[in-house]
Amino acid sequence: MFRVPRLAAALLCALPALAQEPAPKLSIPYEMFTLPNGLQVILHQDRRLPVVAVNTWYHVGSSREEPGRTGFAHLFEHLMFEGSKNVPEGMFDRWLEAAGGSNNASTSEDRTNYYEDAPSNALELALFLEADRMATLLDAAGPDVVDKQRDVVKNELRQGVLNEPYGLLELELPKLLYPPGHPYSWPVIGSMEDLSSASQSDVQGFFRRYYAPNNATLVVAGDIDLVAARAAVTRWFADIPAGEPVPPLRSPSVKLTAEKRAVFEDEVQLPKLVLAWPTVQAYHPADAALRVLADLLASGKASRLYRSLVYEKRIAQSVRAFQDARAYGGQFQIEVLARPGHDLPEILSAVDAELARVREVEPDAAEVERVLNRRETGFLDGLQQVSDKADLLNEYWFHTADPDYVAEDLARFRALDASDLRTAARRWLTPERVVVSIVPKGGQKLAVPVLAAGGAR
Amino acid sequence: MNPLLLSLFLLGPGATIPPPLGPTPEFRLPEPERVSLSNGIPVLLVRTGTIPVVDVRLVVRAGATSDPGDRPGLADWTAAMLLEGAGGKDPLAFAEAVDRLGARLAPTTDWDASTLVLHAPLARLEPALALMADAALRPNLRPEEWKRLTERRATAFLESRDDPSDLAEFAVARAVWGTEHRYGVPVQGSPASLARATLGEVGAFHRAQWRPDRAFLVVAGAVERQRILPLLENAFGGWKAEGPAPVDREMATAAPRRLPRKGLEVVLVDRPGAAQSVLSAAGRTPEALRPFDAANEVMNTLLGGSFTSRLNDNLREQHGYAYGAGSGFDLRRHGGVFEAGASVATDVTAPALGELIKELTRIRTPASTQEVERARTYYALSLPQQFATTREVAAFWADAEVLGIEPERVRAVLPSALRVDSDALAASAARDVPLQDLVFVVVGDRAKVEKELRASGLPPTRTWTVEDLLGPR
Repeated sequence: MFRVPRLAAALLCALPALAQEPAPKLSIPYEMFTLPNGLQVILHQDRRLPVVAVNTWYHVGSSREEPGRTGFAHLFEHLMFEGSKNVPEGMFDRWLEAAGGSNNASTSEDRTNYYEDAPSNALELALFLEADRMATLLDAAGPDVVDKQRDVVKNELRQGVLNEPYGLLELELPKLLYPPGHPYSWPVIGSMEDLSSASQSDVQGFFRRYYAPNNATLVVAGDIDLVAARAAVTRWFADIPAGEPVPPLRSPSVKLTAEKRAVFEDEVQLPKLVLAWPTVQAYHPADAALRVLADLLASGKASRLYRSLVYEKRIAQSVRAFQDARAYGGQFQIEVLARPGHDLPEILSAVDAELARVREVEPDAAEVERVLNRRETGFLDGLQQVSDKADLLNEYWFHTADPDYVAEDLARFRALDASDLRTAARRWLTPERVVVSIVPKGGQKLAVPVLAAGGAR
Repeated sequence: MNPLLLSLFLLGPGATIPPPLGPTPEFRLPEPERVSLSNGIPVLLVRTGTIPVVDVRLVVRAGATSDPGDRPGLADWTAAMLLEGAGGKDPLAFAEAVDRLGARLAPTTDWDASTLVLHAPLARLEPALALMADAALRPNLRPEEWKRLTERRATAFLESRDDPSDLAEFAVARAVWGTEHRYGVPVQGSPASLARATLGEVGAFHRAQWRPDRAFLVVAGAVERQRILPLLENAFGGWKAEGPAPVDREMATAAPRRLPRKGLEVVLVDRPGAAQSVLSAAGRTPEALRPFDAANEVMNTLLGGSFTSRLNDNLREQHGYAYGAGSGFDLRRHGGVFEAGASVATDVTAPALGELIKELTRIRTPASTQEVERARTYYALSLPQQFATTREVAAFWADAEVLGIEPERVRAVLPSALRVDSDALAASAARDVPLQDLVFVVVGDRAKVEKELRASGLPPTRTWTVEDLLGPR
């Protein structure tokens, strides 16, 4: 795929005045090519700042983990920084920082991304570092390295989940929402037990299977010369051998047949209610409507749940709602933190009243317009920073096979009308859902009671 | 292909590892142009970016240090009240009006300033500025909204009781500054102060402090001066000061003279059942230390301001005690705080604290050439990354203006940082890291960590409960 690049400065026409006028035209111009080993490369030029972003997506995440090895994809992510054949342990970060660059990575259910942000004169260095670990990680990732990063990741689990109020939700919700064996039925961070079990042979197997160039996409964005960048990427990556093709994931469909309730106690002062529904995968036709429904319900003070629960009834401290859409499925989630003196059955009935309203009555056009205008600014903001654009190119490529999908992405939101939102609420926000109560220790009476066997309501 | 052959092939004959860097690209700091409105409000305009969004900050030079002595938190609550209805619109109608423009408008308060932050699409800037001016100049300040705000803030203090980093924030403030100093309680105040606060005090603070002669504006975005100035004039040009400006409070910030004592000041905050201990070493910074001091910036980069820093390398990479560790200087108009720390596994609390102390001591001895070169290059060459978005650019210059930092000083720090050597770095550590005056705060499970701390020669000198910090439940 190839497109003539345009300068970033020319990509946007002025934004229209309020209402009726067309949405701004958004674009991230790019060039794309594929190396013979299957590595897909996307280049984007933006020379406003003298920086480059190198952003690599390996199309593997926690959904590919084996039973008893939850958390492994993320542990593996850590090992990628601990050296490779030509990069001694510790030097990945040292060489990059010595050039003024920084890096990070993240693991989700579907993918693992690695990125370097550096002054533009360090592009060759960043490409060398990425290529060396893609080619030769196993020359360096010994058992001592695995042990050290295992400890680091266990502390990540402690800090982000175990020592965090309500953090247990991240561990418990997946298995409530997805059937056993479903690739989203365990948390990305994994469990202490499984992290302890991970071995060096797991590392070797995982690397050979998923870290080949044909399972990755590389974006180079920023202050680059397109011709030189293409040559440099080719020089560093072209000779890394391809791996076996990675077969698509088989993921059973998810359907709850009844409401499912669970109660957990935590070291907290206030009870929290969490509702979750299995919904649709990213970029599914209903995905945009569900995202906008989430905004309508809980984004900002003008949103419905804020108005009702926080402002008018004063029974809740905070509300949030979101559609978390992944490659093989998605979930819609509502979280409400109660005010002192209010229990979760009271919260649930107030939330249900608002859910009944979105299912029954179409929102008025002004309300939809307001929510969409906020979304639109979000799209503009996503184009401010080179590193964000680099990740977005990879994300769009992964999900839609069109790196420059940003205008169409906004368009799928702009195409929504009030009836689409009501339709989505009726179809997806049904009584078959998960209801989680997180209550203070000894505070079972504050919870939404667990249903009797058989799931009768 | 075997890996050895492969990598030789990859690198090519005669290739050097790592590949050499090209010449350092030139970075032009996006600097503000200074103009003013007809009523004298200074405006800092920074042309930046190509995306049609704009950040506008209205800053008044009155933050938490302007709180009345018995009412810590008042500046913060006052700023929050400005968004609880203004210009005759109730809070929800006001929020709807802002949302409809695709804009965001939020208050933020720090020690030295109260700020309204507007982020809006360029095409809708005019109506967005009108709403911003309503909030700043014409807040409703209605009793029923004050009641809602105090309920929400009181509940937020309840939430803080569960949050180890919030507890550490309260504990560090009190341990470093004591109960009498304004810095001894965080910007957002305390539950006891909130319980006594009145809407009358909020109104009085707003009248006294939110004045055009204490205010300035910062604009960052793809916007021309000719276009933005009339809009700002329209929104804020008619704002008039009434009465004499308030007098700023005296802030004594020198480190207290400590009696010679054996051992270290260790404050243990008991959080029963905690899965980790939050460690924080904190102390007052020297009076003369200001932001963008080249030696200080490079020293902190090496100590805890980067991934390869000594603290992160030691506590995370070498020992696996923590997910991450770091350090930083929070410099204010008057004084400031140095802080270094990490969240560590409960069973290694004592050895991790030992390593933290070791690094805070070792940083005073000369660092290796490689370390110094890496830290100074990283600091100087990563600075451009801080100017990518309109939000970052506006926030950067707003903070600089409050602290009296001229663009020349920021421009000068880049070449100066690249000249910092190991002697300058060690001198900065001796001068800026107040080793003798540090307190070591540990927020963790007392039943599990106290004995171990004692056995390691780091006995807690004070032990606090959550109630000690945040009052009775």
